Amino acid sequence: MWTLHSLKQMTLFQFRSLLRNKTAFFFSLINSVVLVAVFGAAYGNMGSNLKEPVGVVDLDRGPVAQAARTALANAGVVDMRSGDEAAMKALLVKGTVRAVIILPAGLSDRVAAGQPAAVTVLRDPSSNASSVAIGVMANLIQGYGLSLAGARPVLYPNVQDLPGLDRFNFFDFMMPGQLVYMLLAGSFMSIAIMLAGQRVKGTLRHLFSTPLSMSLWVTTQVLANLLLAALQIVVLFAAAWLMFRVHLPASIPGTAVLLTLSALAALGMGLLVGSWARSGEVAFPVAFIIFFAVAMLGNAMMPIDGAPDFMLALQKFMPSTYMTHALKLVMMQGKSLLDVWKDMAVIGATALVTGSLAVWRMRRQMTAA
Amino acid sequence: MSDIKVEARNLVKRYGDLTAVDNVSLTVHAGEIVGLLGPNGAGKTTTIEMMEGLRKPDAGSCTICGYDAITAARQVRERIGLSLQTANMPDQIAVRELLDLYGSLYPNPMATEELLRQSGLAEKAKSLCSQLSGGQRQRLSLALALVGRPEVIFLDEPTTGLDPQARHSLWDVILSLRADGRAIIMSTHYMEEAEKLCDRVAVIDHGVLLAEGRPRELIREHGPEGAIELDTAGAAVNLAELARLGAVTGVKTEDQIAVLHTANTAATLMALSEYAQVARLPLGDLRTRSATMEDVFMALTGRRLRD
Repeated sequence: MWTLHSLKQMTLFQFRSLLRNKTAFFFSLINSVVLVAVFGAAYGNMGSNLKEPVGVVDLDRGPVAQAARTALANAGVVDMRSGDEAAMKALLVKGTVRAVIILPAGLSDRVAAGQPAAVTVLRDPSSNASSVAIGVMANLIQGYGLSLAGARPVLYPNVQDLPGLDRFNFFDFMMPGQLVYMLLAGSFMSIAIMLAGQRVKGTLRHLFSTPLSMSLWVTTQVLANLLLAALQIVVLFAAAWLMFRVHLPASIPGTAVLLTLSALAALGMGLLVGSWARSGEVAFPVAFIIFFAVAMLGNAMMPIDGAPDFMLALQKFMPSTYMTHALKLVMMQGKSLLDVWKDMAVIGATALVTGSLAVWRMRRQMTAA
Repeated sequence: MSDIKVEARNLVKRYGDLTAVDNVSLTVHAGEIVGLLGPNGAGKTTTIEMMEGLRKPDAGSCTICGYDAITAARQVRERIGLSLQTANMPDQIAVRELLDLYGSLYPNPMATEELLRQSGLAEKAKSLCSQLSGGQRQRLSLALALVGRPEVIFLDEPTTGLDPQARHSLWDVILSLRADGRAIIMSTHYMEEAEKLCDRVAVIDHGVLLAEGRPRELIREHGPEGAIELDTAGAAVNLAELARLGAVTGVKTEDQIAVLHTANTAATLMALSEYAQVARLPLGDLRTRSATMEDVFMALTGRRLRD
């Protein structure tokens, strides 16, 4: 029976069930915040220290070596430490520095004589960060070498951010993907598993022995899921702002529409898994595998632009791809929803198809068979 | 009769080659408790679910308060109450929240406070279902069945797992519901429960309704006149010789106790006394009793209810 009272009570029941289930609570609200913090700490230097720690060993002690050290320090991208070769190598092994520059003995004399001189740059091949630092160091040394020779490069890079995106930082760029990830986690790892559990346990069958209609059940599922999604979004934005001072979306109404549509598509997929899984135990691994594939291939965890071609081809079949794409355009660049109508069509179709299939399945299970 | 609340006619349910329910018919009147007796897998639950309209019969039909259970599901669901098996309760929902939810689904529900008071759960109103004891969960289950002021109540093994005191307490509630004019259909494993509560009992096995009637009638019709229980204390007993004693209609052993069904208790007791002297059989612990529903079930199916 449809009354405002039953709508409220049933929505509260669904919402409470989600929030009070520890697994659902973790995947819905905690997981994404932890991921943002971990990714941020790992890749974003917490937004403050962007300098490469580098060790310098000065065996020359001449004017060229001194000038080179000054140039490195002034470049603004190096956190320089000095010491003897053994100490610097030990720091490189420990990972305290990412590269060690050895200014050889006699460097100043060779430069004064107009002779080319090699500057040794040590790296740790087992460290990605070290390999990245080597590129930076090589560029700096080459540039300094050219200036010593009195030459100026004919071509040089002039790196600029896309117009309109220059105000954003690393964490802002993570937000669209993380929002999609959070919605997917809430749906697959919470709703799907809980629905399978309630179905197999008999809780739902008993509920459907009352005058509860399928339309009321579906409507309250949608409302509870949207409530959860709203809570997720607030929590994620609050955590990201507190930790990394992320910016609000460029278009808040557009972002809200896209997130609502994405939440519905995620709900449809979650209900589909939950309505087909034979038990809660089966639902968990199935939901996790699908969730992981949809989140990863859809750029929701991290961008996979450099993935092999077959993965990029698979990406086109993931609704999450269209969610993150549309959100990036609307959140970052303030594009209008008309600009992302194709993405919205895919997301909407996903919600419609998966939701309809799930309801069809539920109707068969819960009504006379 | 106008007070017929449940009328099941020739219900049949098949799953592939298996006929789970075979041509079962049953009527239940207002103010009557009908018990379904049968072992696990006998077809009780399927029969009840077809009556409730939760399962569609392959043949036959059932009306609840005059409404077809399948085609008028909505009207039926407004008039029935089902006890939720305690294992099916949503663990993370509080007692009051669950009663409020169920109440919101019916057109004329009982007040939550009244249900809490009636079921003795007022102090547990804020507790989660997972925090309730077995007896409290059973009482909540019954309260959920009563939320919509149902005319017909289905109780699925309502006292399973309860201690004797809690069981008797729940019996009082069920009897008060009958006095209130509700039609009650219950399944149970407890023969004593069936005899105490049920106005009529239907014995089902392998999907077939074997017998139906008042417990006393069934005992008279299908049970022996009496039974003699002899604790053998581990001594060897020749069942074939016991079966040949006067008036004995059947012999079995249960947990070192030989049970002799008899058509004439006095005659069998005399014959047993003589046999015990000859066979040096100790008669230290000997009891006689009337036949019970357990004996009826044994006579009808050839096995015990819990086998």
